[in-house]
Amino acid sequence: MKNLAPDRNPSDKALIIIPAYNEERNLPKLLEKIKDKYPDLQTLVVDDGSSDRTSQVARSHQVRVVSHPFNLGYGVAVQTGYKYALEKGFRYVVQMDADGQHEVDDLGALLKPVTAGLCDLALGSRFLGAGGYRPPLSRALGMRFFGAIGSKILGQPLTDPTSGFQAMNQRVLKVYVGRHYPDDYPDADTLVMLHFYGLKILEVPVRMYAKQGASMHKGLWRPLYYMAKMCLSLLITYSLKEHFHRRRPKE
Amino acid sequence: MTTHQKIASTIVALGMMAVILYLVRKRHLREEFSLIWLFCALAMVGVVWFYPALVFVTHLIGAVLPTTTMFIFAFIFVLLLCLHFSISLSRLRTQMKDLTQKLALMEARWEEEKAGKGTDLEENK
Repeated sequence: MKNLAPDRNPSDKALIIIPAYNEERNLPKLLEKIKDKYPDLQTLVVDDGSSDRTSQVARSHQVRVVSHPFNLGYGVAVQTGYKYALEKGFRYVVQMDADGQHEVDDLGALLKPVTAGLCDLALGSRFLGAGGYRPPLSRALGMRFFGAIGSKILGQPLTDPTSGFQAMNQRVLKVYVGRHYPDDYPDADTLVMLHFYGLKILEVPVRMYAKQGASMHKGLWRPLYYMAKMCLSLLITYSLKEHFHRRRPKE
Repeated sequence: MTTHQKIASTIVALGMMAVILYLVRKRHLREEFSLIWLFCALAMVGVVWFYPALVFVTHLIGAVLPTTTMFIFAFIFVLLLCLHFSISLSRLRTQMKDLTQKLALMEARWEEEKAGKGTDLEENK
């Protein structure tokens, strides 16, 4: 994977951002696999106020660590990672979950179209690949619904709008650290926002596995809140279309 | 409205004003939030001592009883107050998030420098 991370200039390197909350059990396996497959890439673990030894485990694997003093949620954790990447001058970022849901082997394939300049954001899609984990029906319906809305707005198929397995360049990072980034549930609304900013999104087939531990979509209240919030967020994003058009980010 | 009712209502309003001023003095309540409560207490006094004004507003909005007018305005006032607090909470949530991220990033930078890693920009020189 040397071509993805040229040594001559550290700012050409990609940073892997892993938001983690109480992931001391899953992190070692993931970090070892990343180190083994992509020794030239830098890794950042954003510990989102874990009550276990997540930070210590990450540090023992010689990766970069940023720790929140208390839990702020997934969206804020990844945004902290984006801010770190911009501050350090990384040109490319790959974000992936700490719970083993995302296949490390697919990281290179996800990053390649971004480094090659084919797109600004590569979105890992579990539905374009050879198969593997399929979400439960209620979640699949949500994905289809927001995927259909996203596809209509973007004018291109969007099969997995909820995917957190993404690779991006600095233009996307600049949008993601801005005040319009929905830091509670970044989802289809962020993709629509990127589209309105004039950024190119490409879906790449990846493998995903069942989530280890509790899912945020369990229970009755959370999925309902998620659906209502996402509908509202899409509506607000659409109403800001012209605002985003005028502020296209430059690398 | 009887004199007894007027005196009782005025005592309640003045008591409320005293509590608000005490809270501001003790710095348990910020001045910016206290103004709206002081205004509320003053409005109570005004309604009690200028009762015909309340009757006039009652006719103006088409209500039958002055008490209905009072409840309508009280309800609107509470709704606006809730909206004001929601806006304040949203702003505080964003500020708290930005501040926490900044603190976490500064701590990470400090730890990296302490460990002798330096910044990537320094490495690049």
